[in-house]
Amino acid sequence: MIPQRILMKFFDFHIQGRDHDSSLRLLLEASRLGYQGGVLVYPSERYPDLKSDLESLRENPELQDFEIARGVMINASDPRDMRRSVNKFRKKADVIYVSGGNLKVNRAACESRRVDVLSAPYTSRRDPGINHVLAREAARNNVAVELPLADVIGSWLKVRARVLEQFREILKLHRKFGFPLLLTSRASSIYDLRTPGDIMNLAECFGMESSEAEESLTSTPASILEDSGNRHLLIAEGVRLLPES
Amino acid sequence: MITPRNIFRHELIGLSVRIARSVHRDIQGISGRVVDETRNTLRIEMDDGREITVPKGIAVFHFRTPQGELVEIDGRALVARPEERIKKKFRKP
Repeated sequence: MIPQRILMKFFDFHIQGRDHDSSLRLLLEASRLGYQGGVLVYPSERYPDLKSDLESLRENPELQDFEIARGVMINASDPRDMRRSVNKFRKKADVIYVSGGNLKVNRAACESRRVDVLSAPYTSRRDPGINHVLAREAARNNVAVELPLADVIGSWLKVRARVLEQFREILKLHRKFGFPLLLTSRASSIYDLRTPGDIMNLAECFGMESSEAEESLTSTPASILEDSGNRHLLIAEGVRLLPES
Repeated sequence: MITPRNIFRHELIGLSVRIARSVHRDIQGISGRVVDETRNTLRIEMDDGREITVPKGIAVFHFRTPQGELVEIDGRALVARPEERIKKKFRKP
């Protein structure tokens, strides 16, 4: 019998691209480390570059077995700005990330079905950025919360301890309310990337079970991408055109 | 004309329907024609001629439009009096 882990597809759900060359280096390295897919995320201001970059990246023979999705990071100052940007990019990008930190933006992201991922809701905060109310909304609207390991790897001492504490709090809410949780590298350099095994071991440091870590690297990303692929069939909330019709 | 874009606002009586999923397992898979509708229920005439009343809020329905397109509707989206469903707001996906 084939072990389950071999059948699983690991995704690095947040690879920060800057330009074609740096994206290529990151994707090749991710592929070498054992990922089968990744989301290349560009900030909303530079999103038009992603289309042309991605076309040439997909043609690269070394990345033929590597699934690449388009992501856009929305840095909004207020909920209205966030909603406007989400509406702008919803049909263009596969995955929409909202950069967290501001409580009002965190809340608006959790309450929107059009947002896929709320990224690092604790940024520049002392609390985790989401509470029981936001966690329930995120679960209801299927908004994933992203825990980027770059925040752990790239910080020291007190800051790192606080980030780990915030991860623990978010994990507690995830267990209670069941919103999707993502573990990503948020790599902007090849030195930020880690193998899926390393990430799972690191996740155990803040109390994640290995099955939970595995889920957040395999099935949760796959289901977000599947939902994104089927989004054109959605007509309204709760109404869907069935493809076999 | 009933299309997938307006079916959830439209008259449902007369459409063929199948209960795709339900909290009540016994009614799962039942198919037939809608013969009556209230705020919370649909009355379905089954293929053998019997009629059952199904609560909307507990099931997911597959409706077939007259043009043959198949649309999945979560029953919770249909909970409203039929004459008031047209006024109901449906959020964009």
